[in-house]
Amino acid sequence: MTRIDFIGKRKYFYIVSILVMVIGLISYLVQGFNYDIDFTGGTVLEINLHKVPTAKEISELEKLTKQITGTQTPIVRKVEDGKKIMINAHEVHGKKKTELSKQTRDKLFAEIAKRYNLKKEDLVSYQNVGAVVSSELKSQAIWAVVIASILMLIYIAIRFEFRFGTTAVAALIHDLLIVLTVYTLFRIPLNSTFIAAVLTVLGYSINDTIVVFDRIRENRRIAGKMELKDLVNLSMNQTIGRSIATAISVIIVLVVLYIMGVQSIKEFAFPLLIGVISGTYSSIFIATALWFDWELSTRKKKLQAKPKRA
Amino acid sequence: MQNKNLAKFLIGCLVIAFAFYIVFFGLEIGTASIPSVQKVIRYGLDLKGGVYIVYEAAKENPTKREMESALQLIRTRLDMRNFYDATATIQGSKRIRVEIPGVKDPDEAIQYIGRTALIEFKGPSGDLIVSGRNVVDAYAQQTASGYVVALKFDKEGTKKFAEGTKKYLGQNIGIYLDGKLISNPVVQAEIDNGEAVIEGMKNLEEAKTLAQQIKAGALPFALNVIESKAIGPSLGNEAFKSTLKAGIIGILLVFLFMIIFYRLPGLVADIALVAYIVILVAIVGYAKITLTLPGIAGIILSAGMAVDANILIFARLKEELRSGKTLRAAMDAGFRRALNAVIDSNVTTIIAGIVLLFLGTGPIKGFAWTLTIGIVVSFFTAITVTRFLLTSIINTGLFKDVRWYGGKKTREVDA
Repeated sequence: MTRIDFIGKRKYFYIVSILVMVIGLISYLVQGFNYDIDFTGGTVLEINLHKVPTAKEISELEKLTKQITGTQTPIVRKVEDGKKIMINAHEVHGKKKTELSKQTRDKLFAEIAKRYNLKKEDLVSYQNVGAVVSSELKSQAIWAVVIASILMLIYIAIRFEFRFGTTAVAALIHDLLIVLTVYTLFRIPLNSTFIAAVLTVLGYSINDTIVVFDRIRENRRIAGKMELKDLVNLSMNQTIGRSIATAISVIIVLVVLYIMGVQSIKEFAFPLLIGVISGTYSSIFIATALWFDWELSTRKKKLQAKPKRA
Repeated sequence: MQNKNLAKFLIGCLVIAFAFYIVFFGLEIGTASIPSVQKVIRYGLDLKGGVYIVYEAAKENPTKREMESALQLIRTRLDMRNFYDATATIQGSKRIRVEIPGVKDPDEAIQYIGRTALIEFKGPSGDLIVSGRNVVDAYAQQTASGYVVALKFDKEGTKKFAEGTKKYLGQNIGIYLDGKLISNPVVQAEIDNGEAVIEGMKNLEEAKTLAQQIKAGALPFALNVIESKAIGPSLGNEAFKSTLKAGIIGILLVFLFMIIFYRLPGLVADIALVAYIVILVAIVGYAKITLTLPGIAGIILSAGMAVDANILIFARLKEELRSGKTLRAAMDAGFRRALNAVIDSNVTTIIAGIVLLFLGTGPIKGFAWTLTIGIVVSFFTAITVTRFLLTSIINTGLFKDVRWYGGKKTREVDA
């Protein structure tokens, strides 16, 4: 069996993770999130241009949208094979931002249709989202993560012990931050599928962590007076083959989905892909390492306490 | 012993293949038939195109009954326009979500659905006697003369109706729903007790529907559109095809990976995965769970997770074999010792799925359903189908070399 000293190298893994999160934080401060219409409220129009627009054309389309709708920063982006575009816009009424009225929408499309010689059915779809829905969606996302985390923590605390639960959830928050980093860094639009992506990553991450913890729990029972470091290293070496095999099979599916899927599936598959890689990484290098450090510090305290009593 | 176990294994495979055939191609024996899943599956709007609209009651705390009559009104209106495959559901305490497949213009649909049903009683010359605004209750009844809808007017309505029936005694009073004549009875006597009856219903169902419509016409709140979306059918179709193709290729690659990595058990896992896909698709299709784009992603993802349970078991099997156990002992130990990890890891993922199910809406709900059902089914197939097939094939005694189980050197192991 291969023998890798994971625990001995845990400092490097901590550093790598913190580095990625710092990059994410900087990206967030510089460019923030690319909130999709689900979160900001307004209207999305999807238009088939039948040709790939140049960067100059896109900025012209943005100018046009700004002119007609009054949106301060309208977003125009290429989707699918690049020949279709999506326009995010809203109307401004005093302080309130609302979806586009039928007149405004028709006017905007008519202008674009004139420039690109489009037919009526080239307005592939449009979506109106009110501000109420979007603010609800935001709180829904946060609540889903918080509630799922608490419930999983409780379950692990019952089946294992509190310390396993806490470090597993810590690894889960780690993965969430990595996924958020991907969203801000690559300007992936935050929409309702974002919630599904995040929760799937959490589910996968905890699934993976549990398998490693399960092995530590089992080995601890049978290994007797083994050194803690050796015991954890042994458990990780025993489970790493399976962790990698599972990750590979999920990654295969996600990569194919990413390559072949339509835009909305692509936008879903990419963060999931990063999330699964991060989930596998964190269960091996972060969750277990954190648990080890915590366990070790308690043991040291006990050892220090004992001689005093003696 | 050998032949018996080989037969068991082959029969197991045959049953799965047969189930696969029924689910994906349907079955007809004489008059009885099971439709293929493609025919019954309910596609979400993102897959077949259409319009969805979310309404909100313009009232602080509408009662459940008020919401239900509003829902009934919308359903009736959808039916009247022949949108039979449209769905309307109550969301939360004050919202109604309407989905109409195949429709292109939400504005037209919104205009039509948004109005409240108005019942009117008009004299022979078309003058208004009383309208739905004065109706306090409407219910279906069975009388000696057949099915009827009984109405109750408020004070003002009672007075107006009494005057009208007195004036038009022996003549017709037309009953109109949104300007359309639905009944034209002859007034037999002056009615001053505030009650009216609409006769001539074909059955109880029709009477009930009309009663609901009339009550809905007296709905105490307006409905505001807070969200609407139109999806082009070409987009949905395109998206569905490419996603399905990607899913099939992805899963085939996983099959290949399992065989290369785990040899004989890998093959068994692949057969169990086919069983998993058949069961999952059958549940989604026949239980009419709406399949959305994220829903397909959920299926594909849970297929990936389904592999995990098998991998956990086989990794253990390999370890047990390495420690020198016999095949059967290694397999038993493999299943037993992997079970804890399989249960714990699946339950935690299900928790995430269920939270999503309760908090998500629309397409996310579709994703949560397929993910949650997928995990439950994968757990079932991993501990039953995989185990049954693996036990049978090991007991045939045909595969004794450890290399069949992913061992590196040739070594004979006892069954």
